[in-house]
Amino acid sequence: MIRLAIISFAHMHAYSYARAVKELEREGRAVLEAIYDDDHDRLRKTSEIYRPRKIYNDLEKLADDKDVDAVIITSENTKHKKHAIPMIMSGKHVLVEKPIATRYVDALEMVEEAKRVGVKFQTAFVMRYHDASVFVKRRIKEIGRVISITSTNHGKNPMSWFVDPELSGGGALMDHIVHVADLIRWYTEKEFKEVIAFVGKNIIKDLMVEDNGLVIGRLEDDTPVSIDCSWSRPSKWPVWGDVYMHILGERGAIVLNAFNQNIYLSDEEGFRGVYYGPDADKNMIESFINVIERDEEPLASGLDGLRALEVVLAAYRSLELKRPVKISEIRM
Amino acid sequence: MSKRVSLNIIGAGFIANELARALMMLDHVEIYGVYSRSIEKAREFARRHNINNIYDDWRRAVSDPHVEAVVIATPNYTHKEISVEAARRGKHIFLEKPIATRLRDAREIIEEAERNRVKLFVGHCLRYWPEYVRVREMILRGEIGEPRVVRVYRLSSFPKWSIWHRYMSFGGGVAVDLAIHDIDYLRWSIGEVSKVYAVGGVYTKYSVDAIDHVMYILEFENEAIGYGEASWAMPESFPFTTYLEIAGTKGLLYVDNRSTATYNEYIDNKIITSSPYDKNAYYNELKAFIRWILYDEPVEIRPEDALESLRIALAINKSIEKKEVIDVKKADLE
Repeated sequence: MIRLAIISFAHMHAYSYARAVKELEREGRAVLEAIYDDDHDRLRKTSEIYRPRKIYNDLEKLADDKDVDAVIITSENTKHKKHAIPMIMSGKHVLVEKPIATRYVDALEMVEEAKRVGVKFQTAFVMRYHDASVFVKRRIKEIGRVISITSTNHGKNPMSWFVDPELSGGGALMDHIVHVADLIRWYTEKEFKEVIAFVGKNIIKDLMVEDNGLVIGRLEDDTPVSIDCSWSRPSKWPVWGDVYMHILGERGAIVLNAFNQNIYLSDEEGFRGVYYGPDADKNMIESFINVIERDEEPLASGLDGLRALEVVLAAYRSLELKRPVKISEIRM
Repeated sequence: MSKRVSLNIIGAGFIANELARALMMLDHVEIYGVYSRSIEKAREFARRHNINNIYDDWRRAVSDPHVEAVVIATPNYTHKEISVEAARRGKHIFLEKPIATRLRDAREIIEEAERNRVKLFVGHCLRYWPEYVRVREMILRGEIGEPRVVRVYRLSSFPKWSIWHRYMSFGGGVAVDLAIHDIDYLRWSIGEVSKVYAVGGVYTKYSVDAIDHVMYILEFENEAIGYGEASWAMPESFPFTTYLEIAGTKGLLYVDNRSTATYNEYIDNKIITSSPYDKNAYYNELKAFIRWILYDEPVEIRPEDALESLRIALAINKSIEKKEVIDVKKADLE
């Protein structure tokens, strides 16, 4: 039985991960050993909801806790490294929310440190654990060589710290490129070669980060791919957003619309879609536990996190340079 | 009896057939004759649409004194020569999109029409499709605020009703023939395009050298951005797909042709998904053309619009060739 700690509930995914951990606790697979948070109010509230065995507001003490086997890091993007390194050093396995970090050197340090110490390091690319997405991975050879991929990861503007560049490291590009960039790498087993991004005038006024973005890239064999990472869904849109792809191969096409399973409902709260699809969050955490117990490699590793971050960083660089940027250019 | 416009249809292919069906429903129109390079094809077309006269010489068809207008629906690369001749013969011209495959050809057509004082209507039919018209009205009324992020698809398997699509020099490729619909619509609804970046290439075995798959990003002068995709490279079984999405400062809208289809047909492994109505965009645009001739009523498209939309389509091809961002005003797109 793996004893888990959750580091920070800054990212809303923490709530779903905690819920999944508690379900696994009831199934005898895991224990929610501790919660750490640098926000005292939030720590009090979440500990009341999820009832961990311990709570911490001192990261060193969590690192020293020998009862914690592994941590799930769901803090603000720019804090990931600060939260991950002490855990790795004390031999704890790490599942880190995406993006792995906001700077290339930070991500590299995390990946290398985990490798040196020999702990499992998994990136929370939850789409690799979504059943429809897994089905694409299983079926993709059927359409022959992939020749073009169009993808979207739309969402509502998450606001809060996501629009504070000090904490988020960027806006829609930082938040929403990585999921689909990772799926593209996973499905095709090819790396990105170069990308160019376009950002228009913001949808919401007076933000300090971009809330929209369109990306076109080329994979190592020149396969063209596109990503729409915009936070373009209004706050009252009936669903959160989408993960959509159409993949064209030499022998056919596959269309993935991963969050299309919704029951549509109109009530006092308005018109909305109620999701009933696969529980990818739980699948992912269960997989993390299996990886630790069976000493396997994570399906989405730290290196996968780093590779997806490179796409984001090249996209940002292309905005400055106003031209396509090679991934190799941002590794310097 | 009220006045009628007598016209000849130049071409007897896929789109000529659609246009003829629409013309049959219009008052004040007489289809006098039809031209096809193959007299057999012209005869068959004439029989189908109850047309009395046939031609296998387009010069005779565009100069016949019995008609005051022509509807040109021939392959893209022939548009210039036929339109210029029709203008010189004083005929009003309905010209199927794209206006031409090269900018200088487009300019020559426009100049010749002006010189001879004939009306030139280029059939950018999205300006007359109900959902696209409705979306533009919503934008203009400010229902979604200022447009910011746009998304358009126009996805099809390879058109096999004719062979000219397969050659870049005859059809202009999928950007000039298909993406131009959305480009023209977005220029009309969102604003002028300043920059273009695109990827794509020759994807299918049907294409000889025509670019048949394009993915493009448009940057508009008003700082909106748009992603578009036009393809002839989809599998045979992939239903023709159009999609339009616009995120604005006050709201988001989208409409697609598949979830709004009112008619679906499944016979063996052939699937038809459509929204049939008689008074469709072809009807609407031809009606506008006829009323322009008869009553000088304003129409939704000026010849210069067709030229500018062609310029953006050519910028897509140029970006694919050069692998760089194309500045529409500065680039040499001749």
